[in-house]
Amino acid sequence: MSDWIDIAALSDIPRRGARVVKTHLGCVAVFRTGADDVFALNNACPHKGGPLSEGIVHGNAVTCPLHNWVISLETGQAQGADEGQVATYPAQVKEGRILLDKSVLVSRTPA
Amino acid sequence: MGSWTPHKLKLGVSGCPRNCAEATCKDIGVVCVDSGYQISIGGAAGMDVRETELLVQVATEAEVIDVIKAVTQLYRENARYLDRIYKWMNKVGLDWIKERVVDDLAERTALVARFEVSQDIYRHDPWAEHAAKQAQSYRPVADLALEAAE
Amino acid sequence: MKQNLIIIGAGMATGRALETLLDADPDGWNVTLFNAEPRGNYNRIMLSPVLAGDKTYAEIETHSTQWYAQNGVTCRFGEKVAAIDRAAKTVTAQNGDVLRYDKLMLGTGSTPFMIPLPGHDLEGVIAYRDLEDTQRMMDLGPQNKCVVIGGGLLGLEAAAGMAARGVDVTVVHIMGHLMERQLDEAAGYLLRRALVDKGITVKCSANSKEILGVDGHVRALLLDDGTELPCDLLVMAVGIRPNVTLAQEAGLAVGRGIHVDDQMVTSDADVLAVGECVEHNGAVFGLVAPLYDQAKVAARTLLGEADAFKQKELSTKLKVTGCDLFSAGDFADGEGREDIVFRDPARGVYRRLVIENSAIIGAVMYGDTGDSNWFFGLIRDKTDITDMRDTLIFGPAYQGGTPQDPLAAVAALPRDAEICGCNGICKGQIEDAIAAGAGDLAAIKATTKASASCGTCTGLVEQVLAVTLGDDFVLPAAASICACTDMTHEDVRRMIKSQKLMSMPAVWQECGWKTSCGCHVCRPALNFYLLADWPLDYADDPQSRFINERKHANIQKDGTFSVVPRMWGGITTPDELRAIADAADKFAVPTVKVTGGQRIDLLGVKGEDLPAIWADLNAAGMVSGHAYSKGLRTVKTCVGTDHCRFGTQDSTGLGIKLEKTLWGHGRHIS
Repeated sequence: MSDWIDIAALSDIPRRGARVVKTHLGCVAVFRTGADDVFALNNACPHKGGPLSEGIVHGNAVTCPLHNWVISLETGQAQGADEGQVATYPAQVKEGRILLDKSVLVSRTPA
Repeated sequence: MGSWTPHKLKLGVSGCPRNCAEATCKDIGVVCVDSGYQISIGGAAGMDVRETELLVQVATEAEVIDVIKAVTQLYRENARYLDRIYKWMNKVGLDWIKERVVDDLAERTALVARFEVSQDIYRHDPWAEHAAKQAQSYRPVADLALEAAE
Repeated sequence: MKQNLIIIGAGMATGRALETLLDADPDGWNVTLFNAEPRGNYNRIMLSPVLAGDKTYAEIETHSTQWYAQNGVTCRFGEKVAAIDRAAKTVTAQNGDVLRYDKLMLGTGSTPFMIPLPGHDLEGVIAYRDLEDTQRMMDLGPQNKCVVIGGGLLGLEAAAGMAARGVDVTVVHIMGHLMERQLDEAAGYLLRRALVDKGITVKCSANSKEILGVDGHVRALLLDDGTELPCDLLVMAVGIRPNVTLAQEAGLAVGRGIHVDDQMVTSDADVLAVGECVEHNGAVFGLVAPLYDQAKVAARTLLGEADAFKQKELSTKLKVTGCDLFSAGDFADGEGREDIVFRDPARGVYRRLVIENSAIIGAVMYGDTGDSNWFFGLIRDKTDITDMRDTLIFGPAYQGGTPQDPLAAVAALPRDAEICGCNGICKGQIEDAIAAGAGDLAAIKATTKASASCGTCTGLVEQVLAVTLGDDFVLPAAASICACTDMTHEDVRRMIKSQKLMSMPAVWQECGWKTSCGCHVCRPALNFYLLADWPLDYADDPQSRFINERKHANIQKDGTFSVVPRMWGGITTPDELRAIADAADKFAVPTVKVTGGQRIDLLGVKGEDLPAIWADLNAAGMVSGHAYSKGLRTVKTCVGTDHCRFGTQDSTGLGIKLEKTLWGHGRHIS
């Protein structure tokens, strides 16, 4: 059963930016795109574990700050020639607030 | 914020031609001599290694500062993003740069003035600014670990 | 026997419901119509043309006093309803009259949201909702100033209407571009340009702080950056909220709006609701098309016929003369979604279609919306566009033929077709230059000037070369900035300077970017170019910077950061060294290293500790060393005449002066 919890205001994350949410299983990166869509992914690049939350957000993708892998925010998949997968988590925006599904966050496997 | 430039900018000032500050492999180097200051540009000591080329010799510290401001501004206004000075110089040529910052004093003055305008805007220490106003943005937006007893 | 129908609110939705009901069943109902406004139904969405002087109130009235009389509707205009008693099935009017109903229809509409800024209750602070508000704005003239808070549909219509009357209007919008819910940045940029051309001042990313008054009347809006915008009238157009008070007090199910089912029936089977006051499947409504659909369904429900309200795709058009824009559907980027972008910088045209699963799901257009109905039809019907994909963006006139090969299209151009708009060069002149020996782009530029100015026709010129020379001409491998554009860095820098492009959306539009908002390769470059060329006009965009420059520290392979305080010319003091040592202890810095640039690097600092360690170093007088930036790093020095027996000048002193000059403290630090 899903358990949506209020994480922050949409405005707490800059457009085309990200913030992290700490959990006891590591950090989850919450992204806000130029179109104000919100996505939650493990904050670790499948390549060398780079913090995706620190990358440049463009369209519905983020470029990892360490070696420029481009990761889809929707599927968590590495784009182009690179291969890899980042775990994604349900996220939604309701009336200007960002909601994450806590039941998924606490039951996931550690990053 | 410092003066944003197309790529990083490293300088060296050596007190004599023995060049202990390795000024002749910097983006901009100054080597002091008895009669004044030799300003040279376009050195590199990274993936490429290159010696600087002499731009001009001047007599006073004030001239050194003006020439360096002018060449920095010319670089800011014209170089391609991520080109160090030596790469930019390869494209436009040292003579093209000399014409503007050495030969044409009016152009040098104009470049210095434009440099000052930019500098006035980015005069603050970004650390102090971020520590005072944006510290929040460096922290997690939420901490669920605190309630992780379940 | 006639049934008693009471309607609360004479708006566009209840008006349409009433028409539909009485058309089908003229003799079945005793209708009583309450309205808080002292008049009947008028076409509220035409208030903007009234404001602009294009229409009069008489022209937008939809139901006249005679109509109500002819149809036997008892009008109680200018009267509010005090309460509803659902058990007794009665309504109590403001004056105490109690009226019995068989069916009740709520059309209580919405209330404009007023931001509770200090001073929001001053005289002269209004919303834009009804004829009274419109009249207040129409009373202004060229001697007046007005501030509009809100750069959405309504706010911009208000601003344009007043500007047409000569009023000095400033629009204050909190988001980065206008109408951000309907438009992407590119279209927002074009819209802003058009409004500025009409004499309207537009301030985006602007936060209102306080409304200032004198003698109880508004005098200015204060922004949080300290700017004061003087005004005689302040219009807030920041959104609406369903008006649910009456329904709530009557115990009906209410969320954001009054809950209704597909038949527009509330939680009480005898009470219906339509219009902006309702919530259906989680959605609330502000545009007129769904309101009319709801009205028809509500009427059918009253008539005992089966019908159901379905939410449909919506489209938006702005009713401002000279601002031709259209938006529909979902235009967010996404996995499996593809953009088709067409820009014609010369005509100020922008079109963007978002494709998913071979159908158009969203469209944004500016400048030429002639085909918008056709595109909207394709969105609504989820038409499979596979067969017309290549020419889709050009509209219906181009459909039906075979997909065009771009080279074939160029080949088919007549000799007098203009290729280079800046220099007026036609295809024939380029062909002649080629015949005379010009074999590449540079030679064409040199001999004809084609593509030598703004450069947007470079691709076309190359295609003419390819068509004319055949296999002898190889289209050059694009040395463009990235896949978002065909232009080189040099082209774009030239455009930024010559066309005075001062924002990223301006560059994207005028240089014909192929993506809606760039990528991690072009955005940092554009951010630098704009910053370097327009220091007074362009605001830095941190989100277009690499992390090191955004967080003012160098990211390490494990995601921690390195911190390097500045040591001017490589000179330090015992106090600075003690502060660095203390910081290293306090923040458990794992590695402390002396750098090649004559300073000290603290490696392995956690991202969230950065502001605190900076504060400590700042307290000891140290500032950022910019070891992370594309900017001045270090000025390495030797000791010079102070100590060295060979020194010829004060190299350390000069190094310090240079570092302070270039670092940005300039003349302000001695």
